[in-house]
Amino acid sequence: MAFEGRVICPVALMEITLPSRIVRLCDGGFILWGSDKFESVDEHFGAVHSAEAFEEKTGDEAPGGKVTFLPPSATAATLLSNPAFQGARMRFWLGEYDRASGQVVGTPSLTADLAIDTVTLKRSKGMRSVDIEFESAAKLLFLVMRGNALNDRFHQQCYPGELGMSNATGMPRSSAWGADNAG
Amino acid sequence: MIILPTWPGATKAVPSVLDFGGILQPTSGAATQRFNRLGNRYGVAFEMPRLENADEGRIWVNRLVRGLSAGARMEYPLLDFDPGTPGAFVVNGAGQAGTMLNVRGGAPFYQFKEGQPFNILIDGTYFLDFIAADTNANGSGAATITLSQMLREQPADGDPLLITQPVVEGWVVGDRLSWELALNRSVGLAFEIHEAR
Repeated sequence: MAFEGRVICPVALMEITLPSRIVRLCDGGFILWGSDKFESVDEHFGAVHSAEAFEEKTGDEAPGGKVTFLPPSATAATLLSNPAFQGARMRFWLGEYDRASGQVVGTPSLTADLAIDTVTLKRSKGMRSVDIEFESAAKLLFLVMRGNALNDRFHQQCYPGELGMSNATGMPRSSAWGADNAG
Repeated sequence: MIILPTWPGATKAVPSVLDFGGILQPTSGAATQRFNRLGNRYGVAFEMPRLENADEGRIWVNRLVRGLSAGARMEYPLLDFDPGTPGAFVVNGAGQAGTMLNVRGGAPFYQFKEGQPFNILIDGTYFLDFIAADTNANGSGAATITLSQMLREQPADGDPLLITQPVVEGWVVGDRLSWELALNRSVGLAFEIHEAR
């Protein structure tokens, strides 16, 4: 992939690996990548309306994003909410194509490797869309221990009888001025 | 899909390319770059002559009203261009893509002319395009034609080409569809059809 010269022909490609089948989408018409055909519309997902900028930050933020689809029917829209789709792998590429052959040229670069998180169906006048939010496939590797806390109750579970945390209640203790401090 | 009447023809048709690419234009004087994207297709704006409301006017209006929700198909004006006798060209081979298309089954030695409009009928939808280079069919009626836009949908082997009277098929677009009922008992109509894909 070069993106050089006076005329460039870029194409955005997307592939969703569902448990039952593989959805391949591109941003217009159709394009061939080897033996795979990327269509601009899918029987269930419909066409891609827009894609939010994918975010990735330093710290504990995992890459994620949102793509809005225009499903072709209400049945298709509800089908997309299939719980089995959650966690399905979803990849994005940016490539270049050849106009004469309708084929992808070279190897497109993989820009994101994500997993389906939540699906939201939205309707308004003249519009029916499905927002699909993604999170990074790497999120599965994140070690989050939500039950662990720095308090006496948890500390007693780990080290019974160890009282170093017994006054760590987070509550302020006030002593009257001038009174004898009983401890 | 609502088929619009073939008579009377439009007084004016303004075809356009629905282009999704653009020119990457820096704010400085640096070099520009043309950015092509997939999915380019056509749209045509039609302006009709005054139609008698008593007969053709009411029919045109009604077809357009129904076409608003179902899509409409209208003949593409050939003006003085004569496509001759092309025979029955069909797509030759499945799995084709891009701007080159192999066809067969036409009249031997039929001449495709540059800029000639034609349709490919894929899965019930008429796709409009123009021949991009003069091409002659061989003695058995097969040819490799060059298209102006890339194929928007992959044709199957044997999908027919419409060469003698091409059409434009798509959605009736615009803010709203309205028609003028005038004192002289005529209907004034103007509408625009954009291909769906």
